[in-house]
Amino acid sequence: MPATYEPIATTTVSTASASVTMSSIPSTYTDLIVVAYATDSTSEGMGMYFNGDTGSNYSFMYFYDNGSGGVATGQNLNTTRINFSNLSSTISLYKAHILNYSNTTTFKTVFSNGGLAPEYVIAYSGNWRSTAAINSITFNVSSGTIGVGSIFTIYGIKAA
Amino acid sequence: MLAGNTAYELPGDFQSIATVSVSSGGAANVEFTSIPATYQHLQIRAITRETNATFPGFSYLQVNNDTGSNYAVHLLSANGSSASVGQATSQSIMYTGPVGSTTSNTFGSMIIDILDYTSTSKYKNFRYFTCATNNSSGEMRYGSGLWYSLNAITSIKLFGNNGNWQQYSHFALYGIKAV
Repeated sequence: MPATYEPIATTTVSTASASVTMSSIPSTYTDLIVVAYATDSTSEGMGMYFNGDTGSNYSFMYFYDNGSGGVATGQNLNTTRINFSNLSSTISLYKAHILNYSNTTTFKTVFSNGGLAPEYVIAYSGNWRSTAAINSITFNVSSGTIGVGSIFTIYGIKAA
Repeated sequence: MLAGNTAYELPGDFQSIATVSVSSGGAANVEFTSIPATYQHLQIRAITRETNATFPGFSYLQVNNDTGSNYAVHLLSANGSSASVGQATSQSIMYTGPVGSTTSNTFGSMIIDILDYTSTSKYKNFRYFTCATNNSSGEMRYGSGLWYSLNAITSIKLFGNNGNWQQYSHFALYGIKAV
């Protein structure tokens, strides 16, 4: 049985920087899974954009709970990235699913979830209004930096 | 994996069982049949779009062609403006949440985990995360589902709630092995 779910690439941040790009993603899988184990110096959260596209071609929504006050929700439309984590200076773990990332007929959908106990748990869904196959992902923060030691791993899942 | 890199986590034994891509004529439903009993768990991963008149559309499933009132769900839903919870018991279908519909090229995402699907000593638990977002609205749902049956699951049928699945909807079924 051929491997169906396998790691494609891992990047470990050695110098604090505003963004991390993972490029040359092969088109041979059906879905991508991104696992981020990271910190953000300003606690503003991190987003991702694709193929270097920083136009207002993204939308996303989210819901979260911080242990008090019940579940809250919000959205951002016509924005320049899809948020997928609410990082803080304490390392936290997020997983994002990018389905059918290499097809050239549909816009791309992403959803992710993660959290930082005991502060909050959060989930995002978003789309990139492009029919281009995704061949690179850039993770960025609005201000501040992604911390040293942050790890980003991309996995590929291959359907029959 | 690229040379010199190490993975953060090992994926384990995750294998593709079957895939359905909806063709230009659309499909009233998508069904996985003859699901082998050789895995511990199942996962469905899909991009979804149905012929609903408003955005988003919605979806549901049935197992082993069981149309009796043997399903329940419990869900958390949000649309960017408000969040809510809900439940439904003794249903003839298992609701699985939002999918794409009217907006061109815009599909929903769906991941459904089905745990211990071959067990003949307990009811079957489902966990799903579905979402559909366009540039003005959308919805996302976390849900759990229950099928009140001791039968092993051998088939799963997925429906759009208000119409047919549209072209390019893509459904993939995977099996997860245990040691």
